[in-house]
Amino acid sequence: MTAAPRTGTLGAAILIAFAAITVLPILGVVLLSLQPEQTQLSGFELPDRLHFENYARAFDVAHFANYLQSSLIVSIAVVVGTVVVSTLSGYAFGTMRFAGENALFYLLLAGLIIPFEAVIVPLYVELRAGHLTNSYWSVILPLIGTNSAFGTFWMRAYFRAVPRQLMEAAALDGAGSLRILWKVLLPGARPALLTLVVLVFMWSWNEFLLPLVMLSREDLRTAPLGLAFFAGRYTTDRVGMAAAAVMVALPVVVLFIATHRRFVHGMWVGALKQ
Amino acid sequence: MKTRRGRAALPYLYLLPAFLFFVPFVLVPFAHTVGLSFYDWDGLTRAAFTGFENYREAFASPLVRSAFGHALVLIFFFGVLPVLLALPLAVGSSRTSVPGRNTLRTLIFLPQAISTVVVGVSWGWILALDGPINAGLRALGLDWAAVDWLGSFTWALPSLGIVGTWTLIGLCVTLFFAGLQQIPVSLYDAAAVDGAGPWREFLAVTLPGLKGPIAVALTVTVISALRAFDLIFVTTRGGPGTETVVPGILIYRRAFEDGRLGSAAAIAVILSIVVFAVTFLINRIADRRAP
Amino acid sequence: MDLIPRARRRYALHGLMAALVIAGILVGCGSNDRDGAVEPGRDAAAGGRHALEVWTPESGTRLQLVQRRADEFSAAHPDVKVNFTIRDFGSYPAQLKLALASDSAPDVVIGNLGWSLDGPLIKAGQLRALDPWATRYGWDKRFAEVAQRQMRFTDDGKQFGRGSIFGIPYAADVIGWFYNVGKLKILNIGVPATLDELEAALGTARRAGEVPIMLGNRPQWPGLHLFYLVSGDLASDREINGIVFGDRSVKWTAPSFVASARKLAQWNAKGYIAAGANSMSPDDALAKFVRGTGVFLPTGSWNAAELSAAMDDNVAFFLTPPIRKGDPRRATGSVGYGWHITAASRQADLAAEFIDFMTQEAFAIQLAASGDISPLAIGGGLPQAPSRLAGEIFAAWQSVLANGTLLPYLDFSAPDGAEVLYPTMQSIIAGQETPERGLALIEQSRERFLDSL
Repeated sequence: MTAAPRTGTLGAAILIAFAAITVLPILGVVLLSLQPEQTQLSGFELPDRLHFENYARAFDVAHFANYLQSSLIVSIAVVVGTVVVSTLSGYAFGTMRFAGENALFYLLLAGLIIPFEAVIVPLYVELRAGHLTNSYWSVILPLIGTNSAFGTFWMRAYFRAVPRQLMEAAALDGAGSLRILWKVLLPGARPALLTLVVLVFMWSWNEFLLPLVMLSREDLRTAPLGLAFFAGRYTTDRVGMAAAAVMVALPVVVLFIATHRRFVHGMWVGALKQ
Repeated sequence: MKTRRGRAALPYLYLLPAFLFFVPFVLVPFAHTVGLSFYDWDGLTRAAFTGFENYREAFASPLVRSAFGHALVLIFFFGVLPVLLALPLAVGSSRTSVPGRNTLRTLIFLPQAISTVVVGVSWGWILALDGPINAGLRALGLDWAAVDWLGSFTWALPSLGIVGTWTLIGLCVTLFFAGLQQIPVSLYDAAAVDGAGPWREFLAVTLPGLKGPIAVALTVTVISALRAFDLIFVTTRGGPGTETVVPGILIYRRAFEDGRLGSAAAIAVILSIVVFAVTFLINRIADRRAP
Repeated sequence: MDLIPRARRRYALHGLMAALVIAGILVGCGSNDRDGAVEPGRDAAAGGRHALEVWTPESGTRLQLVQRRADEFSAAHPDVKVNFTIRDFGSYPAQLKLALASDSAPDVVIGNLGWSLDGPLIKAGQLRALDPWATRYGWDKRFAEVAQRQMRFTDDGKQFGRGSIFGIPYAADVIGWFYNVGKLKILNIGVPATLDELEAALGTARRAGEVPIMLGNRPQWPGLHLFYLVSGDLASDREINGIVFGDRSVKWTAPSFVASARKLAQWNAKGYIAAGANSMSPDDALAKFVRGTGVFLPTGSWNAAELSAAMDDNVAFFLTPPIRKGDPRRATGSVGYGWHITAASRQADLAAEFIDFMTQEAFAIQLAASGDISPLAIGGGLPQAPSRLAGEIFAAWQSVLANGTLLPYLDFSAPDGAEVLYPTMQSIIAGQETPERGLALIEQSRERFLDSL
């Protein structure tokens, strides 16, 4: 229960102003993407008409269809892998007691903090030796690795907050640990799981350094990578760049907006548990 | 198989899948990086053991030192500034009942969802000499202020910093909103009873109550600043001169462009240590200020 | 926690496996599935579909010509498909090294001369010595001696300028000054005949409110090219060749280099160089120049086709004028990057045949027809210059070859240009670093590299 609004109008004004400032650059780029092809735009201007063909051009000529597909494959695989393994390990950390629990948990936490730059070089060499570079695995497997560190942390927080009585009652009824997880705990975990899915999808989709190093083959490039090289080669095609940029950002933004209510709630709950 | 040993093994079985990914793809490479940092290797021929030479060179090199210095600047823009701005924003607007509040909050969080490559490419245009910001400044008659932001030796780094601020404010605001919900009303009532005005209320109730979320926000944003790579790679690549070189760029360049993998590893280790230390410090301080 | 009965656990495990398998299938669609996989030892004459993987940093018209010529090769060899991977010049070295070390290494790659890219690759055994094919196809006769020097490297990658032939050039380039003909007329400036006249022209343009030098220096190496346009005049042959070919008695800190760098810094201080140069890409600068911003565009002949297509007779070219009127002009240029065959390629013979096709006189004529230049002396001179610009460049190139005043690029001298050479030059131009200190830093870095050989 919160106190009655004391800063109603001022608060509203601040919120609206900041939202506007945040959105303005995004809007500018979207507008740019709808301008006629050779525009060298200097400001935010409304296009004479909406030139959606810029998107078609980026999709076809600039191969963004391929790049988007690659990103989709990678992101979905990472999400599936991460959610499965994180739920299992979060369950263990969150509800069971075992030797080395703290040590293992801190290990995972440390992995959360290790910057990717610190592992990318040997990771590249390792995967090259395993003949995995230039395949989606070289990106998927490490991403499941890092994201499951976060995922474990996240799910553990959720599981820790579940009342013990629920689990004990089910155990008394003869349910084993897996059954308890599946039937008792998971149904209520939907917000936490959804948040995890959205975050992991977002981070996988937006990942840049890992594919930059692992995927040198043109046909395997993920969307952010494709955009970076496109921008590097066609620096004068600003409208094309804007369209490509919007296309790369769109899937995650759409996912985010579609789930934002639950997502915000999920983060709420998650931030609580810290 | 209800043996004690079987029962005891159960948690580890649950942990196994996660560690099966985590160990070979995160921990082991990190250990290798540490090992690699003691060698000189071009990535193609044989490696040569050089002991602490890479570290010595890193500490002596003005370029490496300035890379970390630049990271410090980014810490201010990515971490300190967003937190400072998000506090009044969150506090001032959390108790408003404007319609569409959730939508507005979502919009503020939006930059987080956008790939840093997209952010970089977009802001590269926005900050261009003939881009919208300068057009706006010229329209206001401020021609002298319409500089080449990303090409200026003075302004390139702060400009990238501001992009970071723009990206991370939403995250901080969201965390603080969540945190504000957690503060018991009773504390506010008690403060009101004591006759505290809004400023005292903020210092005595709100700020301590937000301690946790502030720590989380600072941790995430500071790590983000130290690790910055994507944004810089896509905009300035370390230029002009070496003004926007940060550790991430240096590591990538030395490892994959210059063929100095041992040196890249050493810088990566130093970076990791700094990240660990900062995280530890922030959370230490947060714990100490018990409400 | 009780243990669940075996059956239940097996069921759960199966469920898990199924999930992973499904993910695996999704992933399998995109993993490395090379079509036209090649068996080792097969050459072009045998049947079966062959895919030749080629990497290049080219762009623009030259790239189009290369691809068109490659199509002609495919047409003549129906069982061969040529696949190009194209990267922008700045990203190329890193991306190429990654590709060469991967499982999907390309067959044919374009390198970059000297130690900028070729040297390290040769030292690591990534490129093949081409001598056997050179004799077979007559490559060692096709190119002039001064060109061959840039094609050779010792097998250990330690000495540039002698040893085996590693790269076969197909195009050439020279750096000079493109200029906007109309603007020069309006400003009442004659085409400069000496370095002093050039500087005066820059001053006049500036005072008239024009942008004298249009430059896109975001990737940092174009500034170095501007440096070459000046050091070509102020430094001696011995100094420039010494830096490039590893002569340790020559240093970057020589007075002539310092003077060249200082001149650039002065030009910038006087506002001769475009204000947004540091955040502009070379492509952007060219586009702006074409649309009417800038009097001079110092860049290489590889942009000739673009410029004449866009500006017609309104664009012209000259090499940096000499200090003393009438002296032969000196120019920095190269016989261009060469085609290399990778050590990892399992189609070396096919690759060699491809390279030969790409470097024959027929292609040189195609290049010349587009306004570009070739390392081959075309018998009988240029049939008909496609544009006045092409004619000017061709004439300039031939004169430089004839006078022996072709100077190699100084950035061939080390592989880590991006770390010290390029940024420091940018800093010197911007006045952030003094010429003396900056060049000392560059020399330090060079010596460290030479020590490591």
